[in-house]
Amino acid sequence: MNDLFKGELLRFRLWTAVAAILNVVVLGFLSSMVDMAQQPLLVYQVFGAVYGVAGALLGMYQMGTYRKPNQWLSLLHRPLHRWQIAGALTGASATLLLLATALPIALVALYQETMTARVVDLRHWLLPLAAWLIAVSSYLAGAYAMVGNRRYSFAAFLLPALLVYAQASGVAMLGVQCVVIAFLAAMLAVAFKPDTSAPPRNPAAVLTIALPVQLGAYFLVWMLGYGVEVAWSVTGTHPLNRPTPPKGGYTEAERADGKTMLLLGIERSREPEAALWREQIALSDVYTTHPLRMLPVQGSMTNLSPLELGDADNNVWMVYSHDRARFVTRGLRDQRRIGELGVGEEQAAFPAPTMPYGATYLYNAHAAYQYDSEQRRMFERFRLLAGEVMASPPEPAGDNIVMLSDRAAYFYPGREAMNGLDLLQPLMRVAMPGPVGQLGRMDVIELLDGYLVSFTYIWGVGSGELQHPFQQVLRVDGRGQAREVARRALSIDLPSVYINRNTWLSPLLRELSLGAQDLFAKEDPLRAKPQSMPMPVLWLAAACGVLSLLSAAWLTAKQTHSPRGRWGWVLLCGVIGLPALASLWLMYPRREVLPVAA
Amino acid sequence: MGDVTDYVIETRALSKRYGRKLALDHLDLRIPRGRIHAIVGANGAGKSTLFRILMGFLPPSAGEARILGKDSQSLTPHDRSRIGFVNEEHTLASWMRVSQVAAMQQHQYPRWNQHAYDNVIGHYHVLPEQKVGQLSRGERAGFNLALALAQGPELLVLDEPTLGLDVVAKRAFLESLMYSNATDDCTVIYCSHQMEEIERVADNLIILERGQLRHMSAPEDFTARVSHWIADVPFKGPALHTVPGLLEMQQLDGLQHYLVLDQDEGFERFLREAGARNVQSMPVSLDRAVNAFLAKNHAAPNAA
Repeated sequence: MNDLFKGELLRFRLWTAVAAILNVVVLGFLSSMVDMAQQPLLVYQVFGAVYGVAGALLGMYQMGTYRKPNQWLSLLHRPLHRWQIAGALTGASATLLLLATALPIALVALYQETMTARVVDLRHWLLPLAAWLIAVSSYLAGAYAMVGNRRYSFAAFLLPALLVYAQASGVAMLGVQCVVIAFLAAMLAVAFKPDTSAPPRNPAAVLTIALPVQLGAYFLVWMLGYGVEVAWSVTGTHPLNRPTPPKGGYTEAERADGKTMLLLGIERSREPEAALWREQIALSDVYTTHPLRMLPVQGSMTNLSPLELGDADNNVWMVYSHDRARFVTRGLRDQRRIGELGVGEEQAAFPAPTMPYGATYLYNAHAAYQYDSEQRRMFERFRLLAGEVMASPPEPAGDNIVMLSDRAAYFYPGREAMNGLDLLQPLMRVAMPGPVGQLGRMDVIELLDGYLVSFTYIWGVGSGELQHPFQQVLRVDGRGQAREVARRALSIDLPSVYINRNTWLSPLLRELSLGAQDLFAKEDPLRAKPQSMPMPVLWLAAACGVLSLLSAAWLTAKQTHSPRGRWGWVLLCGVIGLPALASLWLMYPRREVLPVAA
Repeated sequence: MGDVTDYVIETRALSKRYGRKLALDHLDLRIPRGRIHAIVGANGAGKSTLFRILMGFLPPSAGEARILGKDSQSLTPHDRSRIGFVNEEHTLASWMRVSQVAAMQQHQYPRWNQHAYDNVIGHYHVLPEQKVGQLSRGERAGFNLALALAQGPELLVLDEPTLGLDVVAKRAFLESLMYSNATDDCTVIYCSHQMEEIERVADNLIILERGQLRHMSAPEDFTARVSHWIADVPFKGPALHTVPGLLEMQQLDGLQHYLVLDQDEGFERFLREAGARNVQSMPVSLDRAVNAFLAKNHAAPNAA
């Protein structure tokens, strides 16, 4: 086994050296220009994708060359257990990927830590590990795609793709990556055998292979569903491609400007003041707020956007450090470390990672701050109630300032905000009528004595997570008393059977996908739980399950299964639905029928 | 013990189907332990399929295949250590040095026989520091043979090992095989299209055709079954479908040449009764006998 391991190291040593040097050169060059620890998410995603592609190519090339019939025979026909051989090959590749991906990142982090005044937190030291795990997971997917049966083996690439959608961050994200790697390693272990055409028979092995194949079929059919929209577009019947979107639908609400949105909201209002409001809407500025979908998370390896801001007047550059919970300052021109900056005079720690917005404002999950250049201090200006989290940082709305939490809209006095640096008290708090995770927009106009506020809940309609979109308009008086003056349900514009195909195709796989997305992730108050499905969709899902069950009973009769295996598959098809039927068809060939010997 | 058997290879009604084509057709084959056995057959006769099933790399559609007494579909690493296999591509790690490959095999095979390795590799000008990728095809074949024999296998399968080699390399390969003492202790299955090689090395000739066993005997016994008759028949000779045991008929210089199977002096009588004025009988080479035997049932277009 050691010899095979060393042999594979030898085989790819040159390519690894080239890749590692190239990686060091690119990272080193970029690092000489910018702070690689403070890049927006997209930069890390691009590097992650490159490492993933490199890993996948290595896996596909390595196993693709061994997978030729004579090579496969030479590789596996030796006095070693097949898992020892697989372990030697994958172990060598993992080692090489470590050198090509993790080592260069670690070297650049070391350079930034020791030779610059830039901030390198513990979370940055996890980046080499994360990059390596991404490369290894893609490598294993590529390896399995080559070793497994090509009818379905490419479904393995779905597992590393999960990392793109995973909600976990920091160490938890490393955990997700390890789970993906463990699953892919199990898949490869099942397929890595002399006769690769033989489908697995052991129940655990069957499930290990079948699950990604079912997910692959599920996503493929779901994606092909978009072909319906293409067909609508080609025939000119797409409901959303008309000059004006369907009246009263979520698309109209999505595209409308602030004035139109408010006018639509009170269109059928019988309030005596409605006519007056319509006139005021036409004359006033409308302030539209779209809530945040994500907040910076403590220990997250990447940044939504760089956690840094500059003060050119004082020659100071400030970078938020997760480890110190404060901003670390350095000279803007000489790049020398100056010190740390916390909240207020006492330089207190920030309660959560804090992100700049605008020139001098900052916010985190619990509060918003203002940097004062004259005093070189950070002042807490807006604080949310305990238990609430930031959904949109403070923005001007007429004479005042509006800020969203996950539960309410807060209005603050604009004049006090401009003229001081004290902590502000809200003028009014307007509770939201629904979860912020479903809020698509908030539109506000100032009235003479208060506000007209519209909350429009349309986020998640396209994915079927929001089944009942609606708009609510509130009249908020000068004392902060809110009163509903209009409420209307919005239509979904597209047929329910189309929007909710990810449910009726397989309710179980939908739940599994949503669960996998949230694996090891902390609960996110900015996300809402999916609403329950309409009954017709559930009935359709049940009908698909029955159809799948009956089809499986017919199909398994034409394949080779043990009695227990056969009925296990029939049951699985009934429970999972059509994707399981597709996996059954892909994984098991028809039984071979031989002519009777002469 | 289950694996103690008189046969190194044993198949019972072994069949393998690829779509509509039967590669192996209820094959019953028993190859006894010891000696060198040659398997010949036209392309598509099922030789490679048979080996792939025997090594556990392909499942049979029906029937049973045993190798060294073990079910071929459940070979353990220990079983594999008892079976050497050399294929026509001589697939070895081209990026490794000869010494590194040899060391790897030495570590993996507990019965490694350095003497056998040195003995075979001595026939070639192969240096330990050379990379496998730098070896000529003939040197790679010799190196592969040296590795396989040094493993100390009980059964050595050589699947067309001299394919693509030039005359000199073929000769070197055969000599290194024949003069190696390592073959004394193992059974060798030699699959080849080269009859002159088989004539030199094989003790037993196995002919496969369309996935069925057509013949198994010593090569000389097979050639004894095939006879070459030259007859001077005026006018038209006997209708071909009436010629007993006919494998091949050619008309050359006004004489009719018949290659027939399992015919004795009675065939001369048949020819004379058909009008032959002069009849001569000649022995045939193994090459000619096997070719005629295999060509007899060779597929031809219906309209031809």
